Amino acid sequence: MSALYYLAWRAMGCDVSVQLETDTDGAALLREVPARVETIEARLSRFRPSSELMQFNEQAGSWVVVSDTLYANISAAKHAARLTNGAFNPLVMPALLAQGYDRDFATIDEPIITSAHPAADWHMIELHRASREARIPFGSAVDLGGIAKGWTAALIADELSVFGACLVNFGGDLVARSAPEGLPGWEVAIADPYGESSLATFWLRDSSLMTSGVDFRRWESRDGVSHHHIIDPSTGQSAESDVWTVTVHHPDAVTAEAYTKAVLLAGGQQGLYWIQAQWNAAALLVCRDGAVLATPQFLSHVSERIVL
Amino acid sequence: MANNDRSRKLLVRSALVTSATIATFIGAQNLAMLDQSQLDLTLTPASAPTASAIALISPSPEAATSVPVQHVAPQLIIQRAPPSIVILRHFGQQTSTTSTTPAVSVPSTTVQASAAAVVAPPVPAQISVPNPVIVQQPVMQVGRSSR
Repeated sequence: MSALYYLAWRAMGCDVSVQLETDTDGAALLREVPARVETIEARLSRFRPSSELMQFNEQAGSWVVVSDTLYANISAAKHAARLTNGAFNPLVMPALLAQGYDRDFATIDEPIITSAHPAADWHMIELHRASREARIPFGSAVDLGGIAKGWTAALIADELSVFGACLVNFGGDLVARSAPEGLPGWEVAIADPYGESSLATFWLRDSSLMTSGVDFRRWESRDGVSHHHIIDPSTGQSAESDVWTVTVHHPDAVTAEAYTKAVLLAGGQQGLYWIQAQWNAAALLVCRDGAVLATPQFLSHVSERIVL
Repeated sequence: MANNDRSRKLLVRSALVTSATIATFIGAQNLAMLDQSQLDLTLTPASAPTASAIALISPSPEAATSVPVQHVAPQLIIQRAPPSIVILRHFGQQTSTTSTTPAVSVPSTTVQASAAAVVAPPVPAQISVPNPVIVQQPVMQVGRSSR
């Protein structure tokens, strides 16, 4: 007889929750997850000076032997850059710092804005799998951002899926494996960034639903200029786009995450055209003017349109 | 009468299988021709597959044309379909040193493991989280930008 277990806590700067439907000891399984996530965050966080990622960044220009976790994430980040032709670029950290995002968003008070730095060329991220070494250009630094969250969510989901259907939520980025008994998927809601209600509900199964936007992590500099955390790698400044939020559906979490960045930078209609050309991808986005656009493939998964 | 019905059903089934089989052959043949034309466009002469490479996945062209036609059923004829998979390189085969430049550029710097820096493993923080709870139905989750 299966039971449905639920656990929620805060990690990686966001609200995390995990649901697991299993006929084994689900409570014991879920109890191990926060420590598992913390171990990963300790390696990948750019907000912890002692993290493996920050130690790696301090060695920019040199080959560094890294852990399996960091190697996998740097690889995933470079792959994301390749998928999006550089729209996602993990070497944007100097630009993020220059825009004032130099600490956990929750603690940003009076950001110090300096001159913009275009990101270094992502092609120059070097990896050597046999020795598990990585090297980035001198003066550059890696920020894994949403890639780390998506990668971690997928890892946790894959590990739990051995025991039953599960849904992992990292701050609104969702990864599902299988479906609860009797249901076609995990029913999730797509938030309306302009209101308290949802735009639609969506059946999610064996795939990921990633959302990025400029609606939440934004701040103002002392001169009143608005900044947000989605950096245009070509300019090093907060991206200018007509997109407010974008939600991408894809079998792979890292790919979905990368695609959200590509759509944000490309703009609404251009971004959706691009998404339609990508294999097995679907998207819904909300524009700054409140318009909601979606690809037909996305709407085919929608179980109920609430506001459209 | 029953035998006539049975024969008629066999004829119908055979016709269906034959037409499907012919469609498959035609499709496979078109795919093979497409593969070959694309191959001609993308490969250099040095790396183009040889006749012997293709022969390893199917009988030689001479053997293929001389394969006897097998009559499985009165109206069903099976012939060998042309191969639609082209082997560009066999397992264990070394790439010629005089071949074209590699498709992927590699860093010019040789990796020396002994010179690489090693980072100290971080110490995970001690965290306290609530206990998991059992719920009667899935808790609706909301897809949104991270917060």
